[in-house]
Amino acid sequence: MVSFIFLIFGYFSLLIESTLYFFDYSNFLHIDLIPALINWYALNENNWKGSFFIAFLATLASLFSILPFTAFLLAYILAFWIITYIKINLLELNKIQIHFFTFFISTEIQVVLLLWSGRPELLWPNGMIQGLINMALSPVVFLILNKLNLLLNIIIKQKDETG
Amino acid sequence: MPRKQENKTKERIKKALILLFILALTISGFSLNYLFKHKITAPIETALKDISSQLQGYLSEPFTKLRLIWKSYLELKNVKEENQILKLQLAELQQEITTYREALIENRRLKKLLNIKRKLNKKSIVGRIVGIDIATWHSILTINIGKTDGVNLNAPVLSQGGLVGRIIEVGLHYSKVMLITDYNSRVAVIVQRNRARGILKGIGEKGCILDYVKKGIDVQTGDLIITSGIDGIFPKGLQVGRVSSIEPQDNMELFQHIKVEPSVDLDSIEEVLVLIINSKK
Repeated sequence: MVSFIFLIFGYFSLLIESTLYFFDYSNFLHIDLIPALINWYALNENNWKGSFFIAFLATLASLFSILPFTAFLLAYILAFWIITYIKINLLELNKIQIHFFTFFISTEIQVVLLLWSGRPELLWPNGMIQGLINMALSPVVFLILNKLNLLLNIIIKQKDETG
Repeated sequence: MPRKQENKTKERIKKALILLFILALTISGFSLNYLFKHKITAPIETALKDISSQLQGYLSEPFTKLRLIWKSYLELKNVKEENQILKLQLAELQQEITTYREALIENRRLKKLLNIKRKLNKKSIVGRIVGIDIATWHSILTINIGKTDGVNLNAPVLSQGGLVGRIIEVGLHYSKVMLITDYNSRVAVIVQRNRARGILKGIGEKGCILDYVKKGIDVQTGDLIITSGIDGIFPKGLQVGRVSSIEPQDNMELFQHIKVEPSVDLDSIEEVLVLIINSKK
């Protein structure tokens, strides 16, 4: 169920990202919900199954960009594994730490993609500001995803009981 | 004790007599007043009324004001409701005006594109911008026309004012346009005034630079840059931009540092014109 929500939400996030721009086409800053989504997914899914669906998300992302699938795969899978590693090795995570991970992996994703584009110098300051925007959006994304997950689980339970 | 009782009885009788006297006086007064047609009480009445009217005059002012305030409040309540209805109507009308204005602006833009189409005398098709690249540092746009509409790879893309870019990916119903400001964009150009050749490179948000123009060649701010046609992608003579600045360079350098401002405001384009080129070429 978590993977299903992940892919559907991921697709809509990409659609929003590619169509809802702030001021003009060349503006660097935009609404990017993907880092928060990967963060949530890594905290809720196991490593191997998760990696498989991350590859799916990378495929979807490459549809909306000139960058190749491999660039997104590398950027996303690294982010996913980092969070999974932290999740396994840390016993307790507080909310601020969780949302800070969004900033962290957002920066990581941008580093990989900017390096792939040959423009690493663009990371400062725009990349960092984008990371902060993503971190600010993270609680909203977590709230939506948690509610969706809960809702779908209730629906499935009710169907099982009636069936 | 009997003395006290005697006194009390006397007092009662006294009170009763006074009451009877007042009663008799009142009745007789009324009767007399009636008989003499108010002639006796009339002056008193008039005097009292005068005084009263004066007092009424003083009091009526603040009371009238209070009444007016109350009336105004009631009216205001009605006006408020009316105002809300009018506001809603106004918002609806404003929305309608915006829609009409938008249609008018779109019409003007399309007319300009049509003029370019006529001038070029080449087969072309109008596309609408539907999206941007999620790697926002790339200046790449998605348009709503593709192979089924006759769009081919590397087809030049124009807008009112001049060159926008070229097609770098074609789907059935969509295409991706690389703007001339993209870091990977290269266009063979010439300076219109003195025919000096160069390569126009994209530098992202900052615009473009004209590279490989030798040091001694006279290029001035404001010079018009047009496509040279030697790259085999863009037809000759398309307006690209104007020289915005020429930076001073070291003696060791071979080429000039020329900044070019694109003719088209690439940040606000909504429709583009894609030239239909022969795919075999």
